[in-house]
Parts: sequence; structure tokens; C-alpha cells
Amino acid sequence: MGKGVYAMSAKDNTVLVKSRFNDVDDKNGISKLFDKAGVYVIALLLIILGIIVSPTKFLTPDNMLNILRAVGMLGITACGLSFVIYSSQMADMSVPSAMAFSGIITVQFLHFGLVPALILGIMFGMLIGLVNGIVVGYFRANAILWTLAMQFGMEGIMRYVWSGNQLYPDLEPGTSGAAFVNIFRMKVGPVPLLIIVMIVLYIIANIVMKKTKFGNQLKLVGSAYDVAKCTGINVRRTVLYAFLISSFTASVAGIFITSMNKLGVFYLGEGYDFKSVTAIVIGGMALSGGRGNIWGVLGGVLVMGLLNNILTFIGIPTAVQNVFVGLVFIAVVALHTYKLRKVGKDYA
Amino acid sequence: MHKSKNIISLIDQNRAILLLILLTCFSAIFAPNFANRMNLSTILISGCMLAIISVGFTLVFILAQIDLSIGATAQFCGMLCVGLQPELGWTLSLIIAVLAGALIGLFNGIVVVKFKIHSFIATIGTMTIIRGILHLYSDGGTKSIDNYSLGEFLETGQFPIWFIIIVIGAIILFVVLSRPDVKTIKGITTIVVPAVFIILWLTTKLFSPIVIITFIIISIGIFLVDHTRFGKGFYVVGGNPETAWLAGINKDMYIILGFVICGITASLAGSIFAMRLSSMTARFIFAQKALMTSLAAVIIGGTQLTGGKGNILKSYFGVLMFQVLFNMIGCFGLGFEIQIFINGLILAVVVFYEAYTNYRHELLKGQRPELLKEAQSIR
Amino acid sequence: MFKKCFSVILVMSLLVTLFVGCGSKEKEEKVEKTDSDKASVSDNTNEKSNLDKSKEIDVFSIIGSDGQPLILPTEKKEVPDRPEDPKALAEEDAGHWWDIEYAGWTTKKENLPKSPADGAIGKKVVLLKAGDHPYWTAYVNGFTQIAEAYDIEVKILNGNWNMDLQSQQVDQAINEKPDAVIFAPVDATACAPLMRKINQAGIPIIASNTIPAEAAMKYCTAWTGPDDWGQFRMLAKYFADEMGKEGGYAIVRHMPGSSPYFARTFAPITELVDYAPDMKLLAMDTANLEAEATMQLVSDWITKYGDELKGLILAGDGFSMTGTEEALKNAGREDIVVVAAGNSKTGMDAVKNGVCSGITYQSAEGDGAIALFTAVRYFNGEEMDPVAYLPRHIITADDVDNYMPAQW
Repeated sequence: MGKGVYAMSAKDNTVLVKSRFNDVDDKNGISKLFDKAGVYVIALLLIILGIIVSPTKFLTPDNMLNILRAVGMLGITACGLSFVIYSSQMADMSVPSAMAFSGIITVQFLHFGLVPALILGIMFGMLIGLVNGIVVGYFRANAILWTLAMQFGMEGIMRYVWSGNQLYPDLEPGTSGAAFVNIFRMKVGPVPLLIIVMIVLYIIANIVMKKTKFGNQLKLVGSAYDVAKCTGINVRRTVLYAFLISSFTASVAGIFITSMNKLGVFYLGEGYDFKSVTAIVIGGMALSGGRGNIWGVLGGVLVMGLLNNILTFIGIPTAVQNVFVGLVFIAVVALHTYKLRKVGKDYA
Repeated sequence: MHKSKNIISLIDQNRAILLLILLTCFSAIFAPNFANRMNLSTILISGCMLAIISVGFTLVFILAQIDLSIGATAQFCGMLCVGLQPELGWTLSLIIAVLAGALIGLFNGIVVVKFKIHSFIATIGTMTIIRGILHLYSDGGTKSIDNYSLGEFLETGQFPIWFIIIVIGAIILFVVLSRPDVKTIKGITTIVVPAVFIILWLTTKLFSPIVIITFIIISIGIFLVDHTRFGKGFYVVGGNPETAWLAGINKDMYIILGFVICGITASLAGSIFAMRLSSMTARFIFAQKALMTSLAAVIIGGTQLTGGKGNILKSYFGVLMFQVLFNMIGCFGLGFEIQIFINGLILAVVVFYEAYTNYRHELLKGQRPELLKEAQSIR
Repeated sequence: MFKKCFSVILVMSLLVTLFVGCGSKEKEEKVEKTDSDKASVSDNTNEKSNLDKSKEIDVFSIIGSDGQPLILPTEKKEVPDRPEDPKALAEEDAGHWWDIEYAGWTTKKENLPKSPADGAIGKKVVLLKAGDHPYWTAYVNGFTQIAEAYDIEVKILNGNWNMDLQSQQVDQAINEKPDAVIFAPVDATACAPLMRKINQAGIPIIASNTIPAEAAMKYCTAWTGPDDWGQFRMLAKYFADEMGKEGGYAIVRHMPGSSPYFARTFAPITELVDYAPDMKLLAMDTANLEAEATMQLVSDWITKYGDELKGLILAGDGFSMTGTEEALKNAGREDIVVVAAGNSKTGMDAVKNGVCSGITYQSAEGDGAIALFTAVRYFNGEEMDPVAYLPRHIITADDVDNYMPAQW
């Protein structure tokens, strides 16, 4: 036990109340670095590992672009989902259905033109978020269970309405279908549109989270819900907005994934809920809410992409890569929690 | 939460069994080919795996944790059981599978308690790891054996006489020891239900051995949690950790034990399923669907994620209700989309109603209705 | 605020229901088009037996939605001798996979129910299908066309790729007491006890689509479906020819736990070991049939192997093809020869625009139609082969137009 004043607590046997020695001072180099840069240390370690594994081919612009392209859609969904986690609502399991729904609606309404179809797709996707936000925000239902119920319900609706078929856009050149399919494939210079959209969304998300009033309110709602209610913040509306943001990014990602696959179907986006939560938590955002930042989430997404890339280079089959992803995940989360515990901020 | 006596609350308390009875009656009347002995037996058999999983799962919920790795554990341990059977025989491979499940539970518990990671995250990590190990072990193929004798026994066999006598004796002993009060409803059910069960078991072929085994495991679970002092500790640790610490209960041990039991039940469920079909598939959707369905069943059964409340028997009724629902949809010949939509709808209604009762409860927070009534009656 | 949201939801749901109407109308029109091609039942007013009437119905003239006949002529193939101990051989040796590849050819059938030989009209059949997928929608489409021609009552149970659910549905199917069960297993090995149960209940089984393991084959009357192993051997030979019988290649596998996971991987490997020994297998891995994952996998392979990688074999031509197309375009490696298992719209489009050299032909509607037609032949009292394959063909750019519009 370091120097300082301690108190008894039921949760942990002792908790550090006041310490003359700040946490940063008496730690060694790596921990200090980890404190400041968080998940990017892990990313750096992985890059070094990648260079060791494959000196000539790993650190090329092509490979880096490949990694970014592979995690583009995951990055977009994680960006919005982090708002829900930041507000301590634990998770949004309806992200896959929001992705599939927005995509399939866009393809359905392509004969209205590209831009109207896109707007309709995003609006229908945000509809899911609206319902989620109302029930979880205003009626205080449990987020995990309610969004799970929404996922089942939306999947059933989509299967029924489109009879389990794939919806193909009309691909004649010059039609909005061709333009839609081109969305995923469009490049601005050497960089794909997907990556640009992802970075722009992250910049906007960072501004919203750190610099706006809504972001600061969200932080308080996430860390201490009752306190936020007492200060007069409209907590229910804040949670509603968090779910709206999550479904918005899910819809954007859904449009990209539908554009990539050139068809709309109900099972697109499967697995994105758990993958996004994994990326967000690796990035340092605690599930208890109110802690972490958006750039950490981006780091978490990059870590997952790097990990997959390196493991494929080594030659490990994708199904076995799960073992390493899981181990890295638990190790990183343990590190984050340890860091928080040292400062006594661990009531996750 | 004070127990109010009005009718809505009564329905809510027993919603699992009421929904089950409602769906069964509806299906018996309207669904073709539903109400015969073979179909009812099918429903009971198909509910076995989820029922055993839900025993441990409910325990984890009571502790205010969540365990998302149960589906993967069930699939992996089932695969171990079947895969090792040719070399080691059923008994030894079952023991190894259950040990593997316990180890996974131990890992979960240590990560949650010692690393202080939230159980939602920790078990997502475990689920991912087990998914990879599963693929390593199975190489992407199905593990199976050619001998179906155990599977047939589990589904259509009959236990030897001595086993039946021991079980019936245990039931009678338990009923007598609990000294039911014949004047209350609870007392009457304590006598009538086991009697009906024994009669049905001996005369009709409604209960296959696998169902009997499930009942035994559920009874052990209920006995452990509801009727021992040790078991009551789970409720305290989950519902009010501060009080548990003050009372001197070892919180860490209970949480780790809860996860271990959850891992053991998940592996038992997977192994029994593998024994029944003499094989275990490597497709991961099996684990995902097992997780989602048992989660929905336990929640509908009345357990809450916030901990401290939970009832293994009600979870079993929730599982049975889902099996009746799926069976009914199959009898009507409706598509899978209806099944999954109703799945979501029931879960949504339950979650909604729970949120509503919580909201009403929050309104009354800090008030004491007895004093209020007294004050009003004085005036 | 609340009222505003509620009204928005109401308006949205109205819009959706409006376009639901549009969607289902399209479906009806499609059914109308194929209905007009339906064959007509014999109009003889004499007292003909059900069997004779049933034999007179001509379904061979029905055309599927892709312009090919619905009932395709089934094929057999040469079966080599079984090696002494297949499992002892190496994985690259074709003999190692003999049991899985030639399952059903030399099986001794057990307890097969005798045909009542009273015609197929008005019979009751249960279809246990493996799961929901556009391929299966086309399968059911072909299936129902034959059912309508013979006035057969069909009940479809969907296993959703889940062994747990399918085992439950097998019990339900037995409970229905149908005249036949068409069984498309979720898992080729695990379906053995299930087939045994149906067999012991005295109901004839026609297995379909996935080749069940040897242990399961002895309980079913017949199996129809695509010849995964044979087609991929053909495809491998075509692939080697396109590549000039040399170079490195990689295989993108199917989903683990399914039978194409082995068939579409080891058929080309064992074939190429003999046919083109200069070709080298560089890597094989699964991407779970997801487009982004396939894109990532193929991009990583291109980066890792560079110019050594000259060809790709894909286990599916839907999402896998889309992902591969993207990866090839991004890396500028359109020179890589790509072949895949077909035949979906995405795959045939890829063949048309030159990205893909060839895909295998697998008629989904034909798969469904031949399964039920085999049951009809059983009801008519005819003898049939234990194993019947759908016709095998490699679709290339020359004849891809014959198979358009795509079934799914």
C-alpha cells in the first residue's frame, strides 16, 4: 500500500482517499506512457510485432490502407455505439438490424433517386434508435434486453416483409442504383470514401463529446445518473439522443455495407454488435459510463484490424484468431481497470 | 419491493407459468397435431438443454452478473464429451467435459472478481476465446460417434427399477419432511404436484430419462439455492453487496462459485445434448441461439438483471413456454420469421412491463405507505 | 415531444405498409408468369386409378425462372474402389475423403419402407429445410411448383442452421404422420440418429442438398442434390487449364461446420495434386461467407504472397465474390484467375464482366424440384438410384446468358 490516507469501504476492502503521491509519479515508463496514450500503445506494440513478422510487406501504404478499409464499417458503428456506452446504458444490441434495415430500405426506394433513398434509409434506421431511446430513456427499461428484443422484432419484420429475399438494385449505368453501388467504391484521391467518412464522423463525435453542452451532460449522465437528474439536466432526453446517434451511425454503416454487397438482405451486419463493444472497450471506454474518449475508440478499432492482419500474415486461420482476440481483449481491459483502480476510480 | 395483492401484480409474479398454461391451451385447441403424448414428450425433451443451462444462468443473474459465454461452453464441452467418448467411455468423458466447464467458469469468476472487470465484458472475451478453441478442437467438422444406444435410451428408454424406487422415495421423503400445511394453497400444491408427477411417470411414457435427469438437476439447483443457508447467501450478495460484506459473507467466493456452477450446468447441458444426438456440430450459431433463447427465458421467468431476485423454477417454466411456442409455430406451419418476431415481442412486453413497475416503484421511493394511510385514517 | 415522436413513428409505419403492398404485388406477378407454363393434368373422365393419373402428369415441360427446365436430368458418376483405410491416408490423397465423397453408393440400406405405389396425387409431405437463405427461397419455389402439379400437401419446417431446432422439428415431422419426408440436413453427420428415428417410424426419407454421412445414408430411400465433390473436381481442372497448370493458388473456404467446408476445399486440392502437380497451395482459410471479411483475407494474402499468388478458388459466389472483387481491384491484381461455386446473380455478373473465369452450375429450383420429384417417383412405385446428382456444368462467359435471369 502506497502512502496516503485510506478509508474502509464495503466494495473493496480499502480505498485510497487521498494520496500525496500522484499516480503518475511513482510508475515505471510503460505505465506512464499507457496512462497518456492508452490504447495507442497497444497499437504501436502490434505494429512493431507486425514489422517483426513481415519486415518488407507489413508497413506499406497498401497494407495500411487494407487494414483501414477492413475496419471502416466497424469504426463507424463503434463511433456511435460509444455514445450509448458513454451514457452507461451498457450496449445496443439492435445495431445489426439497424444496419440491415437502413440498407434494405435504401435499395427499396432507389427509384426515387439516390439522395432521397439515402435520406429515407438513414431516417428508417434512426427510427429504430428513436424507439430504443424512448423505451430505454423514458421508461428506463434495461438497455441490453430491450435492444435485444428490438433486434429479434426487426429481424422478424424484415424477413417477413421481403420474404427472405435479397433485394438487388438496378445496376444499369446512369441509374441511381449504379451510383449507390459506387458509394462504397468511390475514392477521393488515393483514399476511399469510407475511410474519409469514418474520420470525419470521428472528428465530429469528438467535438460533440468533449466540446458541446450535450457531450458534457452525457458525461454526467453516464457517471452519475441521479446526480445529473438533480442538477436539472433532462436525463431522459440525453439518453434518447445517445440512442439516436448510435442508430444514425449504424444506418450510415448499413448503407456502406449494402453498397459493398450490392444487395439488401436481412442478415447483413451480423456480429457487429459484439465486435463494436469489443473495439470500444479495448479503446478504454468503461462500460460503467462517463469515462474514455472517442480517439480511444478509434484506437480500439485499429487494434482489432491490426491484430487480424498480423495473425493472417502469420498464417493462423481466422476461426482460431478468435482465441488471440479474446485474450488481448481481456488483457487490455484488465490493464485499463487496473489503471483506474490505482486512482480509486474503479466502481465499474 | 412490497408484495401488493392486486391481480396485475399476481399475474406478473407468476407470468411464466401463466403464459405457459395459456399457450398450451391455445395450441391444444387450435394447433393441429399438438395435443398428443408424443408431441408433449417432444416439447419436454427439447427443452432439456436450455433448462439445465438456465439453472446456472439464473444463479448468475441472482448475483447481479451476466454470463454470455454459456452457449459457447455448452457447445465446446458437448464436443469434448462426444469427441473423447471412443477412447475413454461415456463416464470419464462426461467428467472431463464437466471439469472443463468448471474451469471456464472459474476463469470467468477470477476475471470478474480479481481483475474487477464487468461480467458483460469479461464473458464476451471468454466467449470469443472458446469459439476459437472450439474450432481448433473440431477442425471445423462435426464430432460424432456411431453408437446410438445411449441417445435412444435417453429419449425412449426406461430407467431400471431400483433407480425409479430411489427417486420416488426421495420425492416422498422431501414432501413429508417439509411438513406442508394442508390449509394453504402452497401446502396443497406441495402434495398434489409430486403425486401427479409420480402417477404420470409410472403410467404414461410422457417423461423420458433425459427429462427425469433434467428434473433432478433442477431440483438440486432449487434445493441448493432456496433451501440451504449457503444458498441464501447468493441472494444477499447479489441484492445488497454492502450488507453481505457487513454480515461477513465472502462476496468473492460466492461470485466465483456462481460462475463455476454456471459453467458446470452449461457443460452438463451440452454434454447431455451431445449424448442424445451422439454428435455435436461445429457451427457457432448453435451457441448463439442457445444464449439468446435462455436469456429471454430467464428474463421472462421473472429474474432481473439487477440481481437479488430470481427463481430457478420460474426460469424452467420460461424455457418450457418457449418450446411450446416454437412447437406451436411448427404445427401451424408458419415461417421462421413469425417465430423470431414473437420471440422479440414477448421479450419486449416483459421488459416494458418491468420498466413500468420499476418506474412506479421509483415514484414511491422514500415514502412509507403504511404511515401515509395511518395519517389519512386519523384525519 | 412525446406526441411528436409518436406521430413520426405512425407516419413511418404507414409508409412502410404502403410499400409492403408494392413488394408483395411483385411477388404475385412472378408466380403468375410461371403459372402459365404449368402442365395440365390429364382430363380423362374414365375411372382411372390415382397411380395412372399420377404417372400421366408431365412436369418435364415446366421451365424454371432462369430459362432452364425445372426437372433436370440426373447424372451418375464413376465410383472408384474404396481404399483399405481412408483415414490413414494423407489429406491431399483423394482416398482419405472416400467415405464422405462417395457416401451412399455402396451403403446397405436398412428397413426401407415399401412404396404403396398408389400414385402421388394428394399425398402429404413434410420438408425439413436447413435454413433461410435466398438459395433456399428458390429451392422452395421449385419444390412448390412440383407440389402444385401433383396436388401434394406440403408443410415446411425451417431449421435455421441450428441442430437443436432441427432435431425438435424431426420429432414434430414424425408426429405429423406424413407420407414422406424430404430432409435437407443442417449437419451431415449429426443427422444420422434423426434419420434413424424417422426410418423407424416407417416414413420414407428423401435426403436432399447436403450429402449425409455414410451412417445416415442407410436410412434414406434416396438422395438427390448437387455433386459438390464432382463439380469442384471439374472446376479444379478448368482452373488449372486457365492458369496454365502452374502457379500458386489460395482457397477461400465455406462456413465451418458445413459439408461444403470440406468438399469445396479438398476436392480441388486432391484433384490438383494429380492433375497439375506444379501448382502450389499457398493458403486456405474461411471468411464465414462475409464480404468484408473476405475482402480483408484476400487483401492480406495478396500482400503476403505478392506475385506468387496467381489464382483463387472461392467456396461461394455471393458475398465471397463481392469481397474478392473489391480486394483484387484495390490491389490492382485483376490478373488473378478466380473460380467459384455458383450460381447466384452476383457470381454470374462477375463471370459476365470478366472478374471470374468460371462458376459451377447449381440450380436451386432444380434441387427442390428433383427432391420432390423423387418422392413422386417413389409414390409411383418406381425404382430409383440411391444417389442422384444434379447436372454438373461449369458456367463460363460463353454460356452465362443461357442461365440468366438468375434464380437467386
